[in-house]
Amino acid sequence: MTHASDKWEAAFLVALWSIIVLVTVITAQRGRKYFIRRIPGLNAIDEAVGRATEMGRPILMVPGLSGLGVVGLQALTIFSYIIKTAAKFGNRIMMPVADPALYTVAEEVVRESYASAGRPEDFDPTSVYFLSDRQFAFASGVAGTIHREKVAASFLFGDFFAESLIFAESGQQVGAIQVAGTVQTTQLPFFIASCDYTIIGDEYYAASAYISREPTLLGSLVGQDICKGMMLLIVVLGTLALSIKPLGEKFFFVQWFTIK
Amino acid sequence: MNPIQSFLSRAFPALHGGALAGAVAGCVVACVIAVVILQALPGKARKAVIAAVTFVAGLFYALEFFLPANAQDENILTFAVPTVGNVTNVLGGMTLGLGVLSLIRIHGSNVVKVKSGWENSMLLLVSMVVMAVAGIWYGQTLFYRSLFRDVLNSFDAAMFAVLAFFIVSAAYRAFRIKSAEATLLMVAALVVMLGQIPIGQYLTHWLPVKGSYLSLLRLDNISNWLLSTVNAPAQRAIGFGLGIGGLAIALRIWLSLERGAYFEAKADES
Repeated sequence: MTHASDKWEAAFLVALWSIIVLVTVITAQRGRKYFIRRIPGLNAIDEAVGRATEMGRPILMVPGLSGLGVVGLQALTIFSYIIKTAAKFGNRIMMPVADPALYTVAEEVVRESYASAGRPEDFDPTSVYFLSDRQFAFASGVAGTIHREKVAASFLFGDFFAESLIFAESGQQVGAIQVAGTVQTTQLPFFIASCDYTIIGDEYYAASAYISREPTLLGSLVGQDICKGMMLLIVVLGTLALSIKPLGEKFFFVQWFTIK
Repeated sequence: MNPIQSFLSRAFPALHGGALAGAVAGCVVACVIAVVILQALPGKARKAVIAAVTFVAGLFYALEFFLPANAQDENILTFAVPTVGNVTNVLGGMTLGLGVLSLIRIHGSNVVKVKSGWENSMLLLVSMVVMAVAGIWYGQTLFYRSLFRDVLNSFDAAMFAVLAFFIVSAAYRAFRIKSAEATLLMVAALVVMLGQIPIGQYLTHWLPVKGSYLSLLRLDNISNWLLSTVNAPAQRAIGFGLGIGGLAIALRIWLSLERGAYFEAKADES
């Protein structure tokens, strides 16, 4: 097991960052206004839904192999916004799921999204379905759906691995407008090559704040940025310390952040 | 054995035979009652219960991480980590049943209503039953091994092989020289690819390996430099952002501060 006592310096940073995020959340909840920059991939959601409406073809949302964790829940938050937008225009949606635990939550999210859009009668229970928890069985199922249904828009958000390119290229082949985002950095090049818009890195976690403009989430986002600034400062100081000969690897600051 | 462990051992002694079956049945009944009560609660009360359970579960892991560990890398809560993990596995196992029900509902409906492609749905249902029977009753036989290794694994491999063709088409699209960035990307990719393969290394093999500035021009050295000095820091920077983002969203879920989708909808119910 990993414990804080293995590396107190790292544990201190985790605690400090947690406090920073909580403080910015509280200040945002108390009315402080925060600015959030434009994220083109998220702006493209409305464009993609509009295109699907014009074409009269379905919208596909794939949470990848995400389980019931932060990545999967974040994907569902984004999908919830897409569904609410799609519900206004009467678009058909499809959401194949690979993780059975996420499937149960996803069904609830879709139902509630239709209800909050004022169209509960449009919810189709077969629009959210479990395919398989085997990676390539799931991949073949989703690729088949893309080709059969000729989806107009494809949203790929969540945990993706080797199957990412199968989804993205299948979408390309049917001419779907594609927006993708994943926390798996090894899959980002495939999405960038094949999708119209790709959300990179922590933009994935910024999506819910960007979409909802909810003060709690905006505050959290600002807290994240402060933490990233601190991380950048640590990297710069570490680089300088290593570059200055009298300090070097033995310098206490470098030793703090050296994995032993 | 630490105090918590000994208290739990006394409170929940090991059971066998009929007592174990009775305890399991009791737990199942308790779970059903808990679900019924949860469903009957008004939205805000249900949210409060879910928030409390989430907080306690998160607190367990937070304390387990922050409490100092001894020389065996254990603290007062470490012994319970496998048990809590088992609880998560049991919940996951139960949801798998719901996933299978979803498959049966959708494909059963296709077969009964003779919808387009009903033959595929029929094949899926039959395959599911055959695989389940083979796995449960013929687990160590050639029949099961053949189904798993010769059929299922072959299908997986075939799907994986499709990636090779998709990589080519994606690479073609990515490397088309349309802009300065695309040109830079193509040149970098070409150098990295040449630096990884023998024929590429052969092109500059006459240059010194090290000890001279000329060694910097070797394709394998340029390739390594691109991977370790240009690519790796960018990947790490993205990793830092993701790690901090993950920490923030985990905090929000743990403390029930999350908004949007499932969380907000439940809170709004009355």
